[in-house]
Amino acid sequence: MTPERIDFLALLSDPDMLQLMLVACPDGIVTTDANGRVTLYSGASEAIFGFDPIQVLDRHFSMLFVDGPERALLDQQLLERGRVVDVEIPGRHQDGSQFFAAVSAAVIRDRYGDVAGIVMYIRDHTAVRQIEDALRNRNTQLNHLVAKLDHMARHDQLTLLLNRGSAVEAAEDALLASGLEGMNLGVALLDLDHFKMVNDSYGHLVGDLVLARVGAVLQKATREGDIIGRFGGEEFVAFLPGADLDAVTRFAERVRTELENALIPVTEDISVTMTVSAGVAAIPSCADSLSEALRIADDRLYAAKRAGRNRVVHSDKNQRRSAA
Amino acid sequence: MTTDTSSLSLDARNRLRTIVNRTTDLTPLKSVATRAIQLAEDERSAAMDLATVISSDQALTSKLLKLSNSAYYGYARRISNVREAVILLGMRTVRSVAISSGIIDAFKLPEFEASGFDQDLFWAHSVSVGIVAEIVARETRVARPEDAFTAGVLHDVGKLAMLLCEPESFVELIDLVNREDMSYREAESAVFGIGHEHVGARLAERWKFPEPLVATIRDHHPAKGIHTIETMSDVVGAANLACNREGLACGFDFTANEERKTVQALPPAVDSAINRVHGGMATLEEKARAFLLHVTARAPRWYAPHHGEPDTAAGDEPGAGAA
Repeated sequence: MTPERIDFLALLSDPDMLQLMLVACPDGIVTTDANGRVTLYSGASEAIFGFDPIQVLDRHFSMLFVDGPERALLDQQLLERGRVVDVEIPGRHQDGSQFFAAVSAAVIRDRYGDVAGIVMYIRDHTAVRQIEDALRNRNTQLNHLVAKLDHMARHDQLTLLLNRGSAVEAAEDALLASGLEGMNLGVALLDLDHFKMVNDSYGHLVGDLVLARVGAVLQKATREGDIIGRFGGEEFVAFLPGADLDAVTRFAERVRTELENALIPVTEDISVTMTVSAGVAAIPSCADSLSEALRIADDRLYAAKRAGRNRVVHSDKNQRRSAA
Repeated sequence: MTTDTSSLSLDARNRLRTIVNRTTDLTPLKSVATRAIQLAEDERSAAMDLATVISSDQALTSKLLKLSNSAYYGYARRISNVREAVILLGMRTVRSVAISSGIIDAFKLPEFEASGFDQDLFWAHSVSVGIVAEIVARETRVARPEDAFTAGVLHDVGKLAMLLCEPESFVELIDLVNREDMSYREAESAVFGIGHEHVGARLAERWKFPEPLVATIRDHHPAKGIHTIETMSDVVGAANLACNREGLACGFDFTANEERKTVQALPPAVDSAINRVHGGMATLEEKARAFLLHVTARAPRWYAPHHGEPDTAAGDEPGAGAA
């Protein structure tokens, strides 16, 4: 035998040393007899539960814990496996308060295999619980923050609509979800007429206000599932899943009249009226992909501008396109 | 509708028929390509059919997905199956890729080293013309851009048929171009007595291509030149001239030979379409190279570097120069 091994055995056979180990152990140690009555209640246990040894010894160990599903689970696992590791059970303190106790326990058997008692190691988990709760809270806050940042990255802060990239991505998602046969998507590009004049006459803050109001008008005109975005500058985009060319034209026309008749207050006594030009296209009647539909809508938007603004263009009347 | 060959002599017409018959025997088109060609344009189910047909061909599927996820389309989202490609890139785009790659596959001819006619450069030219035709069609709106691409890629396919069926005559033709400084068209009519556009158009008919595509292949060399862009033939014809002007010639590397580049004036729409592309012609040429890379699954031989392009490909240019 190695010297270390001899020393260790010597140590185990020294009752003083065993007692010292029992006393010095920071975990509370409780043992019971075969009937569950407490036979040993260490100093650390005293510190955890607050009971004097005289109040505990020879009483059933269940007085140390709150009855409940956790207790039942402890009993059941001890019965089935003969041991449990770090089960969290509400502990009962001498002053009536409760705390979280982490309990490891094992059934002790005598040499004939009969149950001789239970030994339990108990730790006060309150501090751990507090840290865990704090972490959980912090995590929730972080998730909120990430969601908020994500929202900010995907939305235009001024109009609270989707930004260009996210709007296109959402439209692609809608197309992918609709499948090959049911693919129907209306696309409208809308551009405010003479927006620069607002900026030049009233300043950019008023310009921002106008954009926000237009965003609200657009938002109001949509149904559930429609995708509205700020495409850039004073240009807006609407993707209407399920809409054909007629439907998206009606939508753009509705926005156009709505805006034409709306007074947007810019100062306390001045209001302006904005008009919008729009080009619309639809999948599959005009294009078979999103980029093609956007290109067509863009062309038609410029046709609307050229034709005198404040109108919706939905066809290429003056353009040639032989169906090849 | 049949190709009008009444202007040809009886002898030339017989030769034309023989070449077309032999070509369709020697280069059976994969069923995927045939079915892609014949898909109904306007029917709702066509998109579904196309996705199903392409998915049944693993090689084509993998080419399509590689191309879809490459810089060629510059698509941010990952496209992971044919169905997504059809939805996101569009059915016509996917269809034009299927047809083009089917034909490029069908014409894998034995190497033809000695002749000075380079098949890699043939496809380099054809795909470049397809890409330029696509943007010109988009600019002028006289044809669907995807159809113009397909027509551009296939506009010279008659040349390969002639090479395939009469290699000796073809060597003679190439010799005239390289040594006698003849133009390709002059040499062609001297040796074959028929133009490749007639062969190509006949072939396209055999393959049951839609009529506008057949007409475009037949008419891409209009006798009176191209002054305005009004038909798909004008689009492809002009794209062809634009590529030749840049030295991206068909089967020959004329990039270093100023005298052999086309100087014919082009309708302004062509250059405005090219200039609208960031990087202009160099970008389009790079796209053509990328297309061939993904469709043939190997790096194609390419023209000598020119117009300020970085000198990266200098090492792998074989002696394809015409000078």
